[in-house]
Amino acid sequence: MDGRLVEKAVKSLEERGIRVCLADSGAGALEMIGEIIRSGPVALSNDEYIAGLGLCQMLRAGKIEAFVAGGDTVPRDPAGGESESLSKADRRDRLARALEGAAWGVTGAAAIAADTGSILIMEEGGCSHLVSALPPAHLVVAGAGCITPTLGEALSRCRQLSRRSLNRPLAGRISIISGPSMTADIQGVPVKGMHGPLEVHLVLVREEGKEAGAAV
Amino acid sequence: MRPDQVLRYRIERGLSDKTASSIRSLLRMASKIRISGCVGRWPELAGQVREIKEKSAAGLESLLEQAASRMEKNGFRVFRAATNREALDYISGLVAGGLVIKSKSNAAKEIGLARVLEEKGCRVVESDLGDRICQLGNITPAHPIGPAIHVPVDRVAQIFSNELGGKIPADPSEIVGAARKLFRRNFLQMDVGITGANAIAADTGSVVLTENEGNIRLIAGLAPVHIVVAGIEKIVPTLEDAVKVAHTAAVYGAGQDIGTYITVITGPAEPAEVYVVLLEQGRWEALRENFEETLYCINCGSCLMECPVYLEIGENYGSRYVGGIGVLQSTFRESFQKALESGLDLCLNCKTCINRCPVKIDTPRHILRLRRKAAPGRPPAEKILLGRQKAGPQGEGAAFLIRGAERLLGKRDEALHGWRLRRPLGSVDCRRLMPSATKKTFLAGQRGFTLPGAGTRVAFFTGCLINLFCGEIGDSALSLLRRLGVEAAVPRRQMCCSMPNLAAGDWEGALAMITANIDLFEREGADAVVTACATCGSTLREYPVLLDGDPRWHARAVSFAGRVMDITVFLSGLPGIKNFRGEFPSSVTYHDPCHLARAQGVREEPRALLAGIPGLKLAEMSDPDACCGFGGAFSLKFYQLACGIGSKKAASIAGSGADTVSTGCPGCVVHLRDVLQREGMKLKVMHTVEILEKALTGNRGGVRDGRPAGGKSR
Repeated sequence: MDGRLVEKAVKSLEERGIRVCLADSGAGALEMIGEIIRSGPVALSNDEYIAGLGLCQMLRAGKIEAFVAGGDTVPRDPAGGESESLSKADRRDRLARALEGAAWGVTGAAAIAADTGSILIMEEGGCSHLVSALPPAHLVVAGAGCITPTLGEALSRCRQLSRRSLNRPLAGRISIISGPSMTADIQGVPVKGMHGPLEVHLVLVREEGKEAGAAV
Repeated sequence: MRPDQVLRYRIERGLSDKTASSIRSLLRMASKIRISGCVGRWPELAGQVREIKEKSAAGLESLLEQAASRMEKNGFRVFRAATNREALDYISGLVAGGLVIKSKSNAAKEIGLARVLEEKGCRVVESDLGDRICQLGNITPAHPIGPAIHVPVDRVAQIFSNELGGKIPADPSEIVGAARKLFRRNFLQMDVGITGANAIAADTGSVVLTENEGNIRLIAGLAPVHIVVAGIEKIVPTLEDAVKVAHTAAVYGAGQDIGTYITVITGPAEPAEVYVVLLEQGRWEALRENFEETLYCINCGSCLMECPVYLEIGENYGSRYVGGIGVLQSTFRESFQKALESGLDLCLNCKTCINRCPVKIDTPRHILRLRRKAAPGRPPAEKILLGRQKAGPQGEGAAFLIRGAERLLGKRDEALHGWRLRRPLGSVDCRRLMPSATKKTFLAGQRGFTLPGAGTRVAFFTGCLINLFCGEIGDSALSLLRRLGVEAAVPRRQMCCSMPNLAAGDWEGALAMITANIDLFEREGADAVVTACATCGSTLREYPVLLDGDPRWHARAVSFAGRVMDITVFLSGLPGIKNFRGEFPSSVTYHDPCHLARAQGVREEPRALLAGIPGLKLAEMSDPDACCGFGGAFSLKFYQLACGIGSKKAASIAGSGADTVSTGCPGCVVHLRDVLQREGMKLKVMHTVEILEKALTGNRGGVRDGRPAGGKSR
């Protein structure tokens, strides 16, 4: 792994207002996330890498409410009712409401661009886009292997991943995130968290030889 | 109302809105350093995006096909709207009613979508915070970047308190928190979401959008029906190109290293539906008439930040798109009448926008090209004056009219060596201080032969202003050249550089003078054509562009233009230029003429020449290359604007603490004298060559009331 590339990425990401932690292993990452996320509910995107980390179990063991968003896992409707009979639109509505109530959204990343300090989240029919948009705090867990020197190369990586796993030129959504949601529309004063997260955290896992965080 | 009346009304309206004006100045100051610093960190973007946009416009037809078919494959419904009407009808058909949430979208604004949907009974909610504040408070947006930035925080708190109930503290963070809750309710009930597109990638069929707030992401993620409205000029070949365009918009528009969010939408977020409306209105016409550069615009707004006219009157300059580029867009997307009403005549040709533009759109040149269409509608007096331009050497064809106007309609101001109209004449303001035409023109005062010099032989291009009004500048220039052993010929029959005619749209007249000049100076056979007028110099050097495609003249224009040089550049290369006999014990500030600094890249030479003069202290002003507001006929027709722009210059000059202003253009000299006397400032205004000549010859000469003594003898 290119240490200088990681260093450059971390510097750019921090300049964008993203808080970065470096972990040496999946276990180390879990420990750090435990430090960062102190209360729930936590929405986890339906992502193999995150599932593999055992994050949901860890949070629940710490008595923090956690749920996996998207896929077949639909959060329980507070008003009751059977999830199996829900239409796609209703499922989506219910998901949006659950995410609206979450304190954290946790996603993986398809790529990280070192030059612009951007996290790229890619998905096809999932909901990591919403998991990263609705809760007031967003945490990204990703392997350092997904860092590319430039944003252009990060997009090429997205193309490769799309072709490999979907056999399509590009997955349905890419969110390129370069900091917390911002506005300066009231008298020019910068304020975080207008429509999206007020905080963005990245836990970067430096695991040798492991391609991690390719979330499609 | 006639277009010129509408324009006058818009100017008045712009000038009277002091709040908006101070916001523009504040935003300009706040963003200037940030943007230039950021642009410096991303030096490669501008060239790359220019190339992307060139390619896109050249291959627009096939890119459009490719993008449309790719997007269909991706599951979008694509509609090509030939006109605004078609776009509106199509969207009206899609939206039955309900809650429509919108993000900022140029194309939606262009077609007037919000109003049409509201008339249909939809509830339209703007989701950009600033736009929403304006919408709820019924407030006119002050600036495209910060629409509500002028609204006091307690008023904003009150607006949201009214909406939400309760009392929200007058604190931006508190208000944002409350507004977020209010917006979330809207987003979760949204029936239709509407966005624009920063770019569309043809190869992947992706819509690319950038923003900082996150409202676009929520529309794209939550709207059951998402309608994207975008002009076809947003289509670029690849995904990487599209993201580069979005990246560049943030760098140049906001001085941000990248926008907080760039969203790439390549398929609908099921079960949602995505409709893409590709707006063609006027774009093909722009391409057909060789105005493809107008399609390169990425709407970053960077050109506005320093545009002198925009800084004066804001959105009143331009139509649905703002500023000079907006005037160009309105020509093709609305009508020529709209272009006239929105300020086709307001561009000063100062070229500030070109420097600021990431894709280097030459807006001033395109505006000049379009004014050709306006020429037949010019007032008779203007037509006569312009017609007389080609009737004699530099301004002499019209000299009797100018002298007659001074004698019959003018009131002399002896103290200021000029005159004013007794009452307004057409659009010419009677407060404008005009220079008096000298009895004998400069050219008429030249001997028919030239004194042989030691080596180099140059031809001196005089220019109308020096010829009719500022002969002393010409005298100083020639005296300098001869003293330094240069043989300087002054062709008697030289014609106006043609800028006044070009600026008024009289291309036929302009071309007649251009070709006459090329012919005349070719016969002169000099090593260089030297001028002391920045505007003449820049126009002469543009002759090849003006004669582009003319097989008889183009090559000759290239060879002619290659020999044209500003006098300060020529003097800088002469060995004797440092042999000063006298001194110039003054504090001098140098004003960069637009047509010298930006048009010809001459900034260092005049400063170096001045700095070398014994006793002279060069005191830089802030923004030395900001336009003074002259703009030729502009300062006659739009005197109030010219004074507003001039006042800002005067403030910079005052800040320098200098007692003399030096500049390289007789136009700036004339205008600055008027501006400074209006501001009650006692500084002398001199052309760089006048100062140099005094220092080099040791000729005391004396400078009286800002006007050298040499001027009156003619």
